[in-house]
Amino acid sequence: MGYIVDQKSQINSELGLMMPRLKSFAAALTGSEAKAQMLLKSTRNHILARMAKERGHTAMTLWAFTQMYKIWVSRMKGGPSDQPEPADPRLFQPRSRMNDGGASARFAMQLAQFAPQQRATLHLVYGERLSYDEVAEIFGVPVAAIITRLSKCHAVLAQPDERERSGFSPAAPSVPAHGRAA
Amino acid sequence: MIDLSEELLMAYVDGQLDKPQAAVVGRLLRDDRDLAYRVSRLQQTQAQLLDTFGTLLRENMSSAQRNARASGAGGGSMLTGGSIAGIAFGALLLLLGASAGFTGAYYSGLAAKPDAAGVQMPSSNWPEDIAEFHAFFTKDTIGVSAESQSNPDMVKFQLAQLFKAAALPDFSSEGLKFARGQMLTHQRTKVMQLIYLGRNEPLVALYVSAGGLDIPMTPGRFGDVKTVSWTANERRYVLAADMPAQELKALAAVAQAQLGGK
Repeated sequence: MGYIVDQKSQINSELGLMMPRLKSFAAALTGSEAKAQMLLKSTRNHILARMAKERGHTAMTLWAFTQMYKIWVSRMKGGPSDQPEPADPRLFQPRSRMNDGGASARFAMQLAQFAPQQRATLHLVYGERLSYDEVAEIFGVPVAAIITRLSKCHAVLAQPDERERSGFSPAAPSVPAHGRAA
Repeated sequence: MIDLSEELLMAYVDGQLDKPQAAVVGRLLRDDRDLAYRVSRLQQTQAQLLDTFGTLLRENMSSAQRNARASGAGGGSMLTGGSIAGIAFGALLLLLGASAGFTGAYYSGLAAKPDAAGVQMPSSNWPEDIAEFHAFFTKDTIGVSAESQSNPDMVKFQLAQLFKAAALPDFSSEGLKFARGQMLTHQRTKVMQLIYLGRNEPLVALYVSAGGLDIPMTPGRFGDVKTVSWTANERRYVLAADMPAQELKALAAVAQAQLGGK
């Protein structure tokens, strides 16, 4: 019962466990299957290049989410063609909920209309079950910004007819500096 | 009527307040119907969000595992093609191959030495990491070969050497038989995975590592995987399985009685 000393294999192993989670985060952020795949690929390459230095010094999954978000933000600053488009609602409807009489489809439609950072925040808090602090760290914003962001989402989801008044924001036309979004 | 902000109530519903704050909000809720109504609405939305995003994540993870198994072990281009499934499968093979006499050739990006017997697990919190790691194991992925790891005496020896623990928990009274031991690493710390299989029961694994001060049994979960973790006699334990929490707790009590500690 020895130990693997092949660091590349270890890194690949860790990354392999993370990939489905990164894919889900990418889908929430981009709102597009194709763009999520592209973002995932870029992030994987980026992580492979830097992971060896980070291992043992940080929580790898949080670090990977942060790297993916930074890559996405840098792309958003790239030009008009990189700006987010309306998200695909199918990405927010679980396959196992397809036959629930349309409830999950309606909910998915609502989720798809949130801004990318709002969708990604919802994913991290309610899918990954991360703390507000951890999510704030990933997005590089104060915890208060995360709470405000989530609160607006709750308000919209609770009162779908009052979207405009309660802070609903359609797919963001542009990404503010440092990718911040309330 | 007490005026608490939506943000504070949402943090309460999401379990993000510390204990004293949550206790205060809880007390206020009992006395204020309006507040209780606002919280119940937030809980409804929260339940929908947890169900949707939790299910999406689980589906993504199980889909990656399924695709990986379906695509087989010979996909030489899987990693370069950016296939998530391929990478997940590679990770799984790396884990299984290390202990179960893995002989198949798999893609070069993840090729491990055939005699390698340890793997690095994801790092962050111990019980959560274990549960996440455990989610990649199913009964049909555990091959038991005539290797030393399936020899209880060898595993006892390893436990004694590494963790000063001579006992190998016996769950035979619960219908589970020891299948194999596997050494792993977690944040550069050695972890022993002890796998038990039953005729109908789901795969159960006990993870043992060197620990600190005694911590009583604590339940947890990751997706469908439930855990019970505790620390006793300077050893940390996580019992993990996809089974009802109460049954797992009962198993943990059996293990604890044999291993010592409260």
